[in-house]
Formats: sequence, C-alpha cells, structure tokens
Amino acid sequence: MPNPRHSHVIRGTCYKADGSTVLPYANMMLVNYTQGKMLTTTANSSGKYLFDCNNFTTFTNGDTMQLYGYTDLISRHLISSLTTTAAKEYRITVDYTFTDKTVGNSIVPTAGLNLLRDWVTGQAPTAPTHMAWGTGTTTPAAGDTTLEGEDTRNALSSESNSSNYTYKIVGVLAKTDSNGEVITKSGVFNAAAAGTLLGETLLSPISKTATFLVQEGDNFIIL
Amino acid sequence: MASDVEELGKTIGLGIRKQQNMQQTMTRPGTLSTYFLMPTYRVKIQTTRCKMEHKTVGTAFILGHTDNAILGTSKLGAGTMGSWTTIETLYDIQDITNYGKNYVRDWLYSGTDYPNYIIVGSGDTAFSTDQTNLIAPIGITDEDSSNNSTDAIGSIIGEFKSTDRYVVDGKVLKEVGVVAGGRTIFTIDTTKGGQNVNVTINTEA
Repeated sequence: MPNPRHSHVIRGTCYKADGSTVLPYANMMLVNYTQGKMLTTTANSSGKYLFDCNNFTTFTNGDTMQLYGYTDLISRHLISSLTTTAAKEYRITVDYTFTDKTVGNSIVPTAGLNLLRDWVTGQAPTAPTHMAWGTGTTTPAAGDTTLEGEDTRNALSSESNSSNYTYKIVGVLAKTDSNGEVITKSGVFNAAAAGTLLGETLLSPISKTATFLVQEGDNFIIL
Repeated sequence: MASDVEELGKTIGLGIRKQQNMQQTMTRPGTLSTYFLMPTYRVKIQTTRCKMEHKTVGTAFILGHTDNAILGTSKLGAGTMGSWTTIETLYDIQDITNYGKNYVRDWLYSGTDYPNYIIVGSGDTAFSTDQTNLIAPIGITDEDSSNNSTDAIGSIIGEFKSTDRYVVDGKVLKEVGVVAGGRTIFTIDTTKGGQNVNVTINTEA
C-alpha cells in the first residue's frame, strides 16, 4: 500500500539576495538537496507555488529539500532539440567576447577587456579604484598596459551605477597635483600603483597650475 | 564623381570626430578653478559560441546512478566512461541580455558575483535582449570550469552528470542560458513525509 500523501505548506514571500526584490515563480526550482536532484514544478495558481514531488525514485523519506532561486539571466541560446538520456552526461560551453567600441581619442585596451573577461570566468579581479593623469602624447592603443608619462594617480572620488548599462566614476586632479606639467593623458586603473589599465584617453593639452583643479567624469557603457 | 563622394565622406567623418573630441573637454563658464573632462568608454559584450557535448557512462560504476550503481553490473576503476563528443557547436553572435549589461555594470560598481550557473530548458521562443529567464527552465548546474586563456574571450563550462536525473533522463532540451547565482530560500526536513510529497508555498498577501 503506498504511503499517504503529505503536504508541507510554507507561507511567505521569496526574495532575491538583495532582500527587497520579490523572486518570481519562474525563477525558482525545488531541489532534493540530499540527492542533488531537481524536482518537477507545476503552474502557479493564485499565489501558490506547487512543487509535486511524486517521482518517488528521486525522493526518500528524510531527504532535505531546498527551494532554490536563480536570477539574472546573462545570455540565452536556442539549440537543436536534444533528448537527454541517463546513459550519458552532458557538457555545455558558452563563450563571451569583449570588444572595445569606444570612439574618439579614448580606448578600452585589451588589458581592460581582459579584466571583464576574468570577472566573467570567476577569477575575481579588482574593479576600478583609481584615476591617473600623465604627459604622454602617443595615440592610445589596444596593447597599452600603462599610462604613458603617468604623473599623478588618485583614488576615485565617486562612483555610481544609476543609469542603464552605464558605470560612472569621478576622479580629481587637485590644485596641488601635477603643477607645471602639460597633462595630455588620463587613465583608469584598479590599483593605487601598477594594476590594470581599464580605460585610456588622449586629451587636449592642459597646462596644469595651482589655480585650478581637473575634475574628470568617465562613463563606461556596456553595449 | 567617386573621388568627390569620398572627399565628402572624409570631411563628414573628420567633423564628427572633432565634435566628439570637443565633447570630451569643457570649461564651465564662470568656474575658472575647475576644468572638466568627460571621456566615454564603450564595451560590447556578446556570446560568440555555444557548444553542446556528451559522453556515455559506459560500464563505469556511478554512485547514485539507477543503472550504473549496482556492484557487479558496473565496474569500479576499469569502467569505460566515454570521452566527450560534440553534439553541435553554435556560432551565433548574440548580445547579452539587458539584465546582463546591468549586471556587468554592477560588478564595476560594487563587485557582484560572476555568473556561474548554466541553465537548460525546453522553450523555443526566439532570443531577445529583454528576456530575464529561460522560457521553460528544467535544470541548473554550477559552473564546472572556465577558460580565460584567450584575450578578450571568456568561457563558462557546466556539466550535467548522469545522476542529475531530472535533466538527463528523457528531457527535451531546446534552450541554454547562463545565470548568476540564486539563493536557498528555505530548507525543510521531510522526515515525516510519505513517498509522495506535495510542497506548497503560499505567498503572503
């Protein structure tokens, strides 16, 4: 005789990791944590999320269940219809390519593109932290890793992400910095010294004196 | 005529570049103590390859596998697990989702986790950048490995094992996605449950 059905009713609202955004039903899966298996779901009905674990071969009394939310779809691809089988294992590889599309006298060099690449692949690189100014005059190139003629590097004075797809930073070359120099380059780095060059700009010459400061506001737009 | 058109094009292009350069610098009238600079950087992120592979479990003993977890019928050590074979490789060049663009922006700003999950489903609706989820998700797996050996190209690789029965046991896959990590919402102990269990989650009003 089969065991009678038993229902667990959990009351509450599921949130994303930020604690304020409600996680929609479509972003949840029920997992048999003990056996590491996903379980079936059924259609949402009147605010109830029903997971019917009636495949007893994937569930044993005493198993620990988890409701797992996934978020933030980064990319999606259609594939040729593939019917899976337990006689096989499957491996999926997705490649991301990063391309500089900056115009004018600015560039995101290869080192900066690789910084984003390393983040996507879980290498945990450091995000931008400093802005620098220098006296070099050569046109920025993809292979640049340092700021030509770097004279002053300061920590970013502010950052924001309020605009869609745009990261904004502000750096200041103070009244006391680089006086007597002709500033012709600026760059963005992720360290107080050395580090990775994320962006580089060739400027119209600025004869720096103590009578003024330079305030630079950079936009990084993700296309 | 052709050379006149070319000269016109060059003149227009030069004018546009000059205008963009002028937009990068500005001195606010009346504020002689501050010199403003406003460079703009642009990075395009696209997926350029999606590769599907499989391998047979053969006679390998796999703990937890319904068929290959039986001692005597499968082989420890000498089991013949197959090698990876390509099912198909797609070279469709696609933008990432709008959500993904903001996710990259957020890493630059505050250091979010990298997207480390591969998700599969059965939906076949065409891709569009405003999508936030697979159409019909079936299963999710942690990233097993990654590759960053090529300049400006990064690979995320995930595997569905033969013990991931819900995905690998007779499911029809038509879509693949990469998502950032979710979180465990709750954990329940089914000690008192029967073999058939319904779990219902009611949202609060």
